[in-house]
Amino acid sequence: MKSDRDKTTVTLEDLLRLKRAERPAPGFWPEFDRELRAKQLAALVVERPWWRTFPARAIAGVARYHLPMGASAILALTFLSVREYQTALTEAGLATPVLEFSTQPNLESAGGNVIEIASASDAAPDVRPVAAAAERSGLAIGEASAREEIRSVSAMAALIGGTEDSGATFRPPARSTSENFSAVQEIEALFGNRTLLAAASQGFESRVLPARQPVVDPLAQMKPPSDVRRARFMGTAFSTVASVKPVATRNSERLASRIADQRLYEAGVSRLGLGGDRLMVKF
Amino acid sequence: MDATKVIGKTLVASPERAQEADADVEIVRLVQAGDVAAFDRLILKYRERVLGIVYHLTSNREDAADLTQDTFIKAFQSINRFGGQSSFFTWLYRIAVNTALSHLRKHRLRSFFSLEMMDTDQPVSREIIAALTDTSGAERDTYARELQEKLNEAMQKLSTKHRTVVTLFEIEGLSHQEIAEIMDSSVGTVRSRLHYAKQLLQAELQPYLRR
Repeated sequence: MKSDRDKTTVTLEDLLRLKRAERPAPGFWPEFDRELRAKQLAALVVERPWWRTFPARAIAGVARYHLPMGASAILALTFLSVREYQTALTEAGLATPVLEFSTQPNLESAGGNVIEIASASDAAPDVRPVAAAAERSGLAIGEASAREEIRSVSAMAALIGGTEDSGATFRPPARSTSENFSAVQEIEALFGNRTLLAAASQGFESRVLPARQPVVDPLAQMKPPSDVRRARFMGTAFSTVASVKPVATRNSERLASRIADQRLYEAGVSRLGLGGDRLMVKF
Repeated sequence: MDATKVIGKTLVASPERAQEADADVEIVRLVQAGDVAAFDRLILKYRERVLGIVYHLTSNREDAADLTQDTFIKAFQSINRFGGQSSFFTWLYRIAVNTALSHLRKHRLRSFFSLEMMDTDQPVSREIIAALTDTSGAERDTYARELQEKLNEAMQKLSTKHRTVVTLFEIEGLSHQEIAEIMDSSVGTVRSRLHYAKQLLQAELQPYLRR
């Protein structure tokens, strides 16, 4: 018993018992009860998961910026509309020269000489070996130029042959410029007419210019039968030379330089043929 | 009042405590049945003791207030899981101890903020303070304040497990069995920890011990 011991004796248990006498400040418990009540009420409310409150928060956040967002949307819509309109105008402007160009060569004859020209879809397979060779040699020809070429060939076939391959799809570019020039030169040599190539070159320049001329009726440009032969070979040159873009031309020239002359000769000869009173030209 | 009688009153499980436990179970049944206001009676009954446990474990009065509130919130949220296998105060003390220890694990380095006042008017405190110093009045309060800080420093030098045992046994007056239930350990472990903790405290508080 501590009362029986010396009053000055203090043990560890006595010191620890002093801690039991520690009390908070007088105003502690009212504040404690108030905070505890608030926490208790908060614990009673079940907090909704974030994925349920996210849409409402997102809408509330976006609502603050509805004016600038609306203005931005209108500007974007206007920009897209103008862009689409300009694209449509560009396509229309490209289509017109092709039609004009297609009417230039007077390929139909009023006489008994008839040039049999296959449609664009039939002519396309002939150019595949050249395109394949271009791919093998690493000389890629622009896709846009190829599409334009197909479009021009198709239009020409529609005007000349009366049928249009509206479902023409993208094919590899038609025969190379050098190959066509070589074929023309061989024909000129065969027929002894050296002016064909010069005439073709002049006509090429005039057709490449994007002059917006009205479409001329092909029948109005019919020539006498004496010029049929010349026009026939000019048409052959026009259909391919003028339709190839400068970039594709350079590539094709490089490609053609790698092809053996013997192969070019054989290819040119194989596309020409005589049948009765007709001259067969294959594209 | 005799100090030993006070010690005996707090350490020995009395019939009053058994009656208190039965009353607690009745209140818990009411809360489980949906009577939320009945939980306030449990808060009023145990808030000082829970605050004492948490404060002696943390030695920080601000943290002690928050952790005591958290203890009651946790008890309120999980009171439906209380099955009555142990007494309610043992269950509540376990929540308080775990909350305080979890807080100490997250915040190891905290400065001490002792409670504002030590009740030196209690008979036990008066006897001990009088034995330690011959001063009176303001000087005695200053000495008591200094002693309070030294006690807290010595307690914080113990590990959390040893501090918990000392707090529950020496300050709160729980039995070894109750401490073993709260700490989820054996009685032997509790005794061992208590012995080791007292040795450390003896060394720390040697200047204040009078033999």
